Amino acid sequence: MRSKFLLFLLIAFSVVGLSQEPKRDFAFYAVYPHIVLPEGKEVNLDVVLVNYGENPEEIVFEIAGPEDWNPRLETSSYPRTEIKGLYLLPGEDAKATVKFRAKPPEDAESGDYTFELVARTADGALEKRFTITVTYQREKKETTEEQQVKGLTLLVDYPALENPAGEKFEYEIQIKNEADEDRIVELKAQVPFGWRAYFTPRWKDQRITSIKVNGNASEWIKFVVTPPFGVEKGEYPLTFVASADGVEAKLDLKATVTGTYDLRLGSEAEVFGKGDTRNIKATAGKERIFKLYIWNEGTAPITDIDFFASKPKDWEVKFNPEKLDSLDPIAQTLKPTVVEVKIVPKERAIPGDYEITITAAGKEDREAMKLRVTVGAAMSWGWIGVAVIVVVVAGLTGIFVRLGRR
Amino acid sequence: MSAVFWKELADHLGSKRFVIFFFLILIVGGASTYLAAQALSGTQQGAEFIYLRLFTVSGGGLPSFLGFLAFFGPLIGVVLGFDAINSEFNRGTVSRVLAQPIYRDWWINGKFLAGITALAIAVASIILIIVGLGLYILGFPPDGAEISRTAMFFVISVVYLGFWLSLGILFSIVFRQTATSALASIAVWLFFTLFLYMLAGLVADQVAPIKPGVGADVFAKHESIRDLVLRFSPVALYEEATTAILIPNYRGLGIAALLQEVTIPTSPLPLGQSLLIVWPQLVGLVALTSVCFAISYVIFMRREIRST
Repeated sequence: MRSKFLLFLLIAFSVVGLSQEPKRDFAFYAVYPHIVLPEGKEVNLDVVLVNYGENPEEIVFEIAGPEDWNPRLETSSYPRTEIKGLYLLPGEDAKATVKFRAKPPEDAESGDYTFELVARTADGALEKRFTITVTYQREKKETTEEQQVKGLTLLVDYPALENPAGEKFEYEIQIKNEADEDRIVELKAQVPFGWRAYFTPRWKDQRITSIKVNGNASEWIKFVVTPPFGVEKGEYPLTFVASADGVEAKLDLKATVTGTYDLRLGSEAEVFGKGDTRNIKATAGKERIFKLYIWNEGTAPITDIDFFASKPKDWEVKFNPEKLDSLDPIAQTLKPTVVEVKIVPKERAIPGDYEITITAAGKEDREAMKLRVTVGAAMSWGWIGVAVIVVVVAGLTGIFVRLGRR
Repeated sequence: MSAVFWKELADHLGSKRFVIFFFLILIVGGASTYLAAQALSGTQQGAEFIYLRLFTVSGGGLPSFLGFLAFFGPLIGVVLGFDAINSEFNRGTVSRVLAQPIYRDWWINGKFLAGITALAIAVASIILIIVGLGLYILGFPPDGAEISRTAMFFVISVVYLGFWLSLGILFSIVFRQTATSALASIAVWLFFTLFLYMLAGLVADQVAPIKPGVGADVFAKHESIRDLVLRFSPVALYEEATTAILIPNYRGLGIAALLQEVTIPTSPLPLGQSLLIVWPQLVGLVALTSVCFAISYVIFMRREIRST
């Protein structure tokens, strides 16, 4: 028994050694040789080739079957290329997977369609073949149309955003292409009058108007909407439309604009470039009118604006008007409101710089402004002072000169 | 007596040394006042007694006008007095003057009054110039309280300078040589303005030394001893008195007043109350002046005067 086995081995080795032929074999099969294909889909099957031999083999393919289905073999990796042959490296690890693809023609009837796939080594020594059966199921007309509409799906995580006026709204939208083939999706938006909208890829600033979406894949885009300057607060509807190959998908979004309140104060010089700056001159005991300009840089009116001033002791600071009921945004009023500030330094104010802080406080916002008041001496008393000095000096000089001569 | 008075007054006001000292005090005092006004300008706290602060606030490295007058004022007084009598002796004019039909005390009284009047004119004109400067810088006139306190300051200053005048006259009677009396006067002046301040600190350190960890009572004792020694000096008396007059919320020297400063409201006092605080100092000043003059009067009256 044992000797027979040894003998068999010996013979086998000698035969192999004598023939000088390396072992050649390969497998060629489809993972799913029989599939059911509903209407609107394409055949897309994995076909596997494995070289069990010792040397690489060059394989050529042949496909037999209904020609109008356009049966073909393609590379499984992108970009898809139709292939007629393949160079197959030996070993199970180097197995190759290609795609068998076929598209049913528009008028294809329901039923079984068979495709015979042949793989042959280039020298014709080895040949493998197998059959793929496709059971095509044609559906009714109406359902077909519905299927077409579902070719694009739009998804958004946050369909309603809220922002203060002046800031842009950014919606991240996922476009799903449910069709098998790649599509160029046109992007459109319906926004209220005056609003500006554009689209960018999710991670880029590039503005786009269309995007390519692979079959059965999805892409994220950013839908950016900028409300016009001075937009009033409120809710605004936005519609995002994606269309490709006559298929259209709509997505309703909502943008809520909240009002902003930004009270500003300024002097005449800041507003008109001339006149009083925030450093004004005044005279002790004399009334000084300072024109205070107030405006609302926000987008919603500020109400109940009161004025008050922190001032040195015994000074008088009065406002005319004393309060404003409402201050519309400067985008609507177009010019700042003037408030007259009457400043009366006290009678015996030492000449020098004093600081007055004017505060305008509305319900929604408040703003303070520091005013430096340089108080100068009243000149009438200054001349009297000079006169006193002159008289004293003259008198003394007279005495000294008169008595010194004796 | 009026003849002596007018003649002496004219001599004082016409003398070069008086003019020099007057302008020295005027220029430095005016400069310190101007700097004080600069330092005060724009102070946000009230302008109460701003005219008085012109005299007491120092600015720009110069001492205040008050400190300046306290330190250099005595020199004017001494300069007017130190050769009042002995120069007449040296020139041999005494017998000629006293041969005139006047009482002997008219002569010394006239000399003293003329000196005081010259000092009063000098101080008054300096104060007026400072007030004029204040009017020019500040632009509003002084109010009643400021005027009355300034007048009080003027009176005290004249009394203080009068003390130095009478000291000069005393030395001019005691010493025959004018140089001796001048040096003696300056020695007294230096002693009271400089050395007594050092001495007061020394004595206080000896009697109540301040070491780390001593109680507040030791501090108080130290301060009171220092004040006690200082009050022998007319300079210190004058400074205390005028400080109370020119700083209306001043409530006295001493550690007690300093400690209570946080608890006592620092509102200004009326002039009468300020005077009450420094009444002892005022009385001391007047007394010093009077005593000084009285001694010189007695010595002069008893002196035997012969024509030489």
